[in-house]
Amino acid sequence: MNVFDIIFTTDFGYMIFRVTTPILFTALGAMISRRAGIMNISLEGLMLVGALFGVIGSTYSQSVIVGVLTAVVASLLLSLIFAYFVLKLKSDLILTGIALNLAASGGTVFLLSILCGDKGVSTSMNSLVVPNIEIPLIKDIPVLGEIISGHNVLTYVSLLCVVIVYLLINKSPMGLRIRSVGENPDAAESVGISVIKTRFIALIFTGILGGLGGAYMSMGYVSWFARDMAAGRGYMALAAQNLGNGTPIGTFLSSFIFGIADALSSTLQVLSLPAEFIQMIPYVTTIVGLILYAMNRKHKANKLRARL
Amino acid sequence: MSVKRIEKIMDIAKTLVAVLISFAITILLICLVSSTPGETIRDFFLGPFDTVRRMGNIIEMAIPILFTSCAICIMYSTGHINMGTSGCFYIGGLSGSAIAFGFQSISGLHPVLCLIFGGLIGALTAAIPAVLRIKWDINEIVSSLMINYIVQYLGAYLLRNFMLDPTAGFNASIAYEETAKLPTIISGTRIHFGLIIAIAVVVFSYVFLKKTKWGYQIRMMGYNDRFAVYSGMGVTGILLSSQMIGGFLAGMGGATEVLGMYNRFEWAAAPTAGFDGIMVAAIAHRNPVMVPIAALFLAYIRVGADVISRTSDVPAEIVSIIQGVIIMLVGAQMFLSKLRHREIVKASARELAKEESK
Repeated sequence: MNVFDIIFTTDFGYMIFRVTTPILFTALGAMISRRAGIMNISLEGLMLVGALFGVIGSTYSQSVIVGVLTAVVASLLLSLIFAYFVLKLKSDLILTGIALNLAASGGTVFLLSILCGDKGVSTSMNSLVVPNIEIPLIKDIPVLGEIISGHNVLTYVSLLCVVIVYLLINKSPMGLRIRSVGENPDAAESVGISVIKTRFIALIFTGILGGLGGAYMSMGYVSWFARDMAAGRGYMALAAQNLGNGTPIGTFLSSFIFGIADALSSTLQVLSLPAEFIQMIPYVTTIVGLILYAMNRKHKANKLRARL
Repeated sequence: MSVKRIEKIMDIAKTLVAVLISFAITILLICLVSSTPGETIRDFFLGPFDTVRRMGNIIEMAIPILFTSCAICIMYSTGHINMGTSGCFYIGGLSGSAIAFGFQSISGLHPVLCLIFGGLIGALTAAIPAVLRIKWDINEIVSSLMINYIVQYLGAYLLRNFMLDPTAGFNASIAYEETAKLPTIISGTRIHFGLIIAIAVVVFSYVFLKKTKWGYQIRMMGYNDRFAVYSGMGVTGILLSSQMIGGFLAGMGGATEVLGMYNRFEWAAAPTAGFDGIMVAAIAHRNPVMVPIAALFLAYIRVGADVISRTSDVPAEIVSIIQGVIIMLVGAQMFLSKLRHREIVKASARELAKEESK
């Protein structure tokens, strides 16, 4: 079997959507933070907490909706703690992010071990998954139907979120405030926009999106919580919004690039390539992508300068 | 008391209050979770001092953290946040191991070669985000996090294909030559010669950062890089060299750790030492002199958590919650800022009164 036989299949196309979803949610969250002027590395932790609480919520309520809501609320609360420290107590952004991620990584295992006596996975908990849905009409289109239809509800929600975030950032008064606070906080303050309040709101959105990404991990991508299951996706999301230059569409496209890299890394394992190199793909892609983007930007700047 | 003195005391006070708050949270958590809270709390706080072996554990655990946190002190003093120490530490351990079993040498020289090679590879790893920053202005936080993952997979590949000893019975490299290992220096514990190297690294970092022109330039760049450029410092050179020195220390730490504590290379993933370094450097306010205290403290609560995870029903992961709380409070500028402000105002008023009465 060669590489193309694997890539040009509807299964592969389907898989890209499946693996892009968590990155897309968190990348949109990271993007909103960034537009408000906050380099948010706490998304890794938000995702983990969301994933665990999705499992807990759905186990104890036996309701999918309550499960997802629990995930979102838990992630939101963590994001508010982050906001309180960063905005009110003037903590260092990166340090607070690292502290939260470490606390989330250990804290989720702590909670897991207390709730089900296992430090690895939550399979002994009877948690639920968000169902997959077939889209009428589209599902009957050959090829495209097989790729686009039949996904997890949250996958469609993530695509919807791209539109919502686009409208929020580019078309709403709140988006204008968020952007102005990110671009020039002093100028924003001078025209009466509260920088702290606006950033709080931006971090609330980030918390919600991080929670949705986490919920998808444990209630869609797989049906359990596993320790450190975010596996760097929060950091990858940060890279994706960076590559997408902080625009919703750019973030959406670059999330897909990471999704493709991620999908490749799980499908190419049937080939005789060393598994480690395939697992490296998403991370190498990130760096190569950032270099290409930077080169392009430099090239454009030079061109503009030449015209002057 | 001068204002500067008050600021220093307040910094220490803030750290102590942060520790106390985190301990209060720990006690609360233990009471909630444990069926034998009294004993568990005792074991957590006093357990690490019960036996010589456990006290030894504290010091063993602090050794790698000393290396990485000194590395962070130097790297972060430029204001450049390279998160790659974790990768440097891992790859340093792997490269040091390669020399430790791949070559024959005399016992005094062999570990030195391992440490230098581990350090060099660590320095090269740490240089990548710096070069990306200098050449293309790529955010070093993102790139260094990605490099940590790449380095881990590369290490796993090298271990599986070139270093594996099939007779070991588990995923580990060929056993090190006896000449390469760092000897144990205190019997009854596993404290090894690496402790002395680590102390030397702390002293070096202090002198380098606080007493040399090079270190001054590094710190000046961190305070205000425009001023550094304006006054004619070669900022790119300072940035690159500081990151490489930090990477060297972290890589050397990795090599020291494997040669002192293991007989074969067996890390499946990067140990936590890299991120521990970031925390310890933060608690120590990036001052190498304070690093040993902060590192010992971190090791102490880890050993405490280890003890209770074996003697009670509380999982050892409780420690990461304690760490998180401490780091967040220590990092918070406004935490206890009113008290600081009041003390400084009081001191200044006293000074003023003294001046006027003259």
